[in-house]
Amino acid sequence: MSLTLAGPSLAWAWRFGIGIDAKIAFGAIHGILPVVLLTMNAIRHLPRVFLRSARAMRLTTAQTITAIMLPAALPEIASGLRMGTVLTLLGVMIGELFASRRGLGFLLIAAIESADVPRILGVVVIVTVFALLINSGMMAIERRIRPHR
Amino acid sequence: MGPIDLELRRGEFFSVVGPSGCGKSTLLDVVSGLGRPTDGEVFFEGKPVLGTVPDGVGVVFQEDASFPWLTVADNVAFGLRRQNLSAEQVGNRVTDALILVGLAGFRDAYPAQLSGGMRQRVCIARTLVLQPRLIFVVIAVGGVNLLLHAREQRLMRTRTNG
Repeated sequence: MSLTLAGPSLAWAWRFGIGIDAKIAFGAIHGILPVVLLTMNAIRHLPRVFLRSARAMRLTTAQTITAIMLPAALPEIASGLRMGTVLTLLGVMIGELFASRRGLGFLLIAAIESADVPRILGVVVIVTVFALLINSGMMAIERRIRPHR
Repeated sequence: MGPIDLELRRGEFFSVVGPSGCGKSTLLDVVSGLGRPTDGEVFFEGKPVLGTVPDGVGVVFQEDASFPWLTVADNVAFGLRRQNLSAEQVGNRVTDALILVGLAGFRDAYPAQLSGGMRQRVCIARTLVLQPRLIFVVIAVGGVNLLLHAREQRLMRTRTNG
């Protein structure tokens, strides 16, 4: 998925450069897709018996969406948000690697070009810790919203 | 499927038994209002059933239809909360239904923590708590726990006769 996005995204970044607005957009297009895909997948694979139960209990369409479809899809939405957040970070980093004049990505590529190993490792540690913290935070939220799993 | 001419009376316990693919589920869909007949008519208490489940009719499906994100008590209260009832009334009816199906000690458990038979009883309680005048239940006889089966029949009889 990230590879699918990488080609057009990088071409755009090379052509127009990457300022703060473009960085946000660049990160967002990496982050939104997993949320959308996982939500669509969850809705598509919703057990048919849930919808039949909704009809048996005479729920309206709005009630079926809010009381059954959304709660049923919530774990996948949460997983999508977690993946999306990490991919957003990755997207911003990729953008900075190739087309930015500042940021951690730029710092990393500059350190690689000058073979500055301590700086390379420093950036890698910062990014890893940041990604792990985000991932743990999102997993904690996921556990809170689906205690039944 | 058909032709079928079937009349069910209040308090009656009626079973449809047949091999896989003979149309039992289709019949249930049509008579409960979940599906429309290609021909003919279905009436419930004198009113035509037109592709929607009439008020007063409950359906218990063969598949596990308990909602995994809700506790047992919340599953049972699901339909009641969409009626104009006070929290106390909902609570009392949920407690009664849970006692009836033998799940009073599991009200705060999630379906994932229950066995398949217990989850089915959650679904039965969720239907019974709405006090339907007609209940359709689909049960796979092959491999079913016969004791549970008998218990379900007794529960249905208690409710439909009451």
